[in-house]
Amino acid sequence: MAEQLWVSAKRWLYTTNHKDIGILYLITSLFLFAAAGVLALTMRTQLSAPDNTLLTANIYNQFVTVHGLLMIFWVLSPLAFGFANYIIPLEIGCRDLAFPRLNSMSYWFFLFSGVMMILSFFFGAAPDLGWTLYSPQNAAQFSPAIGFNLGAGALILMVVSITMSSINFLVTMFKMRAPGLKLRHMSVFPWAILVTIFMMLYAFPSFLAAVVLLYVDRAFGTVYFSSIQGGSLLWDNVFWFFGHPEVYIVLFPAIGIIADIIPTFARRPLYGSKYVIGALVAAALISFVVWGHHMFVTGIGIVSTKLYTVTTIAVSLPFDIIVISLIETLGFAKLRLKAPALFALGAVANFIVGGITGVFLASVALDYALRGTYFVVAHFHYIMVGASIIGLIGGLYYWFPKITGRMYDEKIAKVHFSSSAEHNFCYFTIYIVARG
Amino acid sequence: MAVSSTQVQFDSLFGLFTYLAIAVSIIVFSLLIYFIVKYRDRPSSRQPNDTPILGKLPRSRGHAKSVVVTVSLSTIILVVLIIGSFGAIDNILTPPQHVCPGCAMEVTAHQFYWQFTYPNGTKPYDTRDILRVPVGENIRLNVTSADVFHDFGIIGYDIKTDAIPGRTNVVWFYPHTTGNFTIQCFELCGVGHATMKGTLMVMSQAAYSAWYDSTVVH
Ligand SMILES: [Cu+2]
Ligand SMILES: [Cu+2]
Repeated sequence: MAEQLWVSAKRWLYTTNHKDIGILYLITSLFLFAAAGVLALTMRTQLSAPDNTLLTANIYNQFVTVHGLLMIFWVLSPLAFGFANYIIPLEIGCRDLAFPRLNSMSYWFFLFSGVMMILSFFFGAAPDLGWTLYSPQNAAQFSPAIGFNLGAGALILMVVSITMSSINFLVTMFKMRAPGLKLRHMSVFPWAILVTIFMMLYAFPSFLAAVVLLYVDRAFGTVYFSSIQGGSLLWDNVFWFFGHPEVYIVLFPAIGIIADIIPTFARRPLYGSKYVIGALVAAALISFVVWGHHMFVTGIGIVSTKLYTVTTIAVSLPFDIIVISLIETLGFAKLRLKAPALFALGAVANFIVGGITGVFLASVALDYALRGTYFVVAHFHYIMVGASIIGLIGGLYYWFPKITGRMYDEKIAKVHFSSSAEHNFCYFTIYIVARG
Repeated sequence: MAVSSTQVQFDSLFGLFTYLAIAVSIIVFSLLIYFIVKYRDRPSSRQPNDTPILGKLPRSRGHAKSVVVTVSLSTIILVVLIIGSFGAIDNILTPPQHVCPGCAMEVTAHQFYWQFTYPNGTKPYDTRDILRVPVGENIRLNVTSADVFHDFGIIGYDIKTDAIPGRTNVVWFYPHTTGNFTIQCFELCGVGHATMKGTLMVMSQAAYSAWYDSTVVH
């Protein structure tokens, strides 16, 4: 018995197989999803009654921050890369990723950094200033807890993990495709992963620089971000240069999955697949010149403001192409509304709502009223949960038989879908409340 | 009735965005629902002749025409929105050069209160968190912070600006009606963030001048 346990533990500890690591990624990120969900539910309980005393202001701020960081870094991306690990080698016809040991190392860095992030609660206080970690509140003077340093360390480790795995996928997808499989023959999911990797490669260095300098500020008393001479705006710029592409980094894999699921269940090829892929590339490129829309109210000047309004509104064009192509795929189809298809179509519907309200926030004139309100909260939860998470859950059902060798229960899946649909009720109310 | 110039401006622009958003949503969602209902799997429905087959590259499908139509229709809508926004941006970001004496205040955010300083140097400590302004005048505020990143916003006025240490951001508005409005911080700035509130007291011009003239210069 003990012998068997050791054998199986050894398998999962020492594995370098892409399928095993994919499963590890999926399971770990689902656990962290549960952890982030508990934080969210506790916060909503606190907010359910006025002057509730369930959480102190201090703890509440820690929950807000760690919920956001966990969801963005340790749930959305790893869930997507769990699928990528498992599926990409199968879809492009290679035996494993280019560097299997590096792949295993990425996973363990991801796991340990996630644990570190959660442990930060127990070292004074977890980061407590929102996931954007604005300067100068992130300075030791305002947030002295050791837990914050632990959280910053966790973010650095996570970026290391992401960098290792993006190089791994990049080499695999360029060098190890089955003979004759041209890049343009790949379906949208591998393409979405490829575009995501490029965005990671260009966005994360900015974030890494920000967090490393922040760490140095906190540990050794430098003044990169705590300086009153523009420290705040420096943080804003380096953070959001990464921050906007990051939204697409967590969204594109889900779009890829949706664009694979819908044709399967519609039993027709994806409408205009090369335009969808082109649109992904275009959106990825534009995503690097829109970060100023997060700084509209910081006083960046009239010209920059107008420029970022135009680029941000323009970035919605590629997404229009994607949505329309996904809808047109259903034309003259024979659509089976099984669980994965329901989740995929639900994600499209949510994405339309989230996308349209995003255009509101692209206009600086409206930002002057909407900044910092629940309108923004509702918008990005529609994108991050409504589109990304729902799309990824569609992927979970879609590939469940492939990964486990058994079929999921269609009834349970449909109940799951209808309960997920209720989030719409929650977030749409938030849009309305925001204007109240 | 609108309470300030900024609210008038916000409401008209938000209205434009909302009408177009509703129109676009109706078109896209009816298309989506129509396709799902019409082309769902029924015993009578025809098997498509280009169903993807495992192990074979799917046949390519789709016209550039659809992309062109989508992009041009969207562009028209987006250009309308950009033009609408530009007018408002110019207005918001071009504060009036000259305002009445006593109508340009300094706002300093602190963890966790608002400090208002008047042109004559008055810093009413007893009434910090209270900003008195006259109705029917352009008001210009220079907003900054003494410690961390805050955001100064007036609920109902639909106007905001970040309060950043080492930096001064200007915000201006024209109150239409007298009354009290809530000033609030809109950037998570620490444990007291939720209670970082103040009051904007819009007074009649006579009442304001009487109060302003009575303040002691420190
Ligand atoms: Cu953004
Ligand atoms: Cu504040």
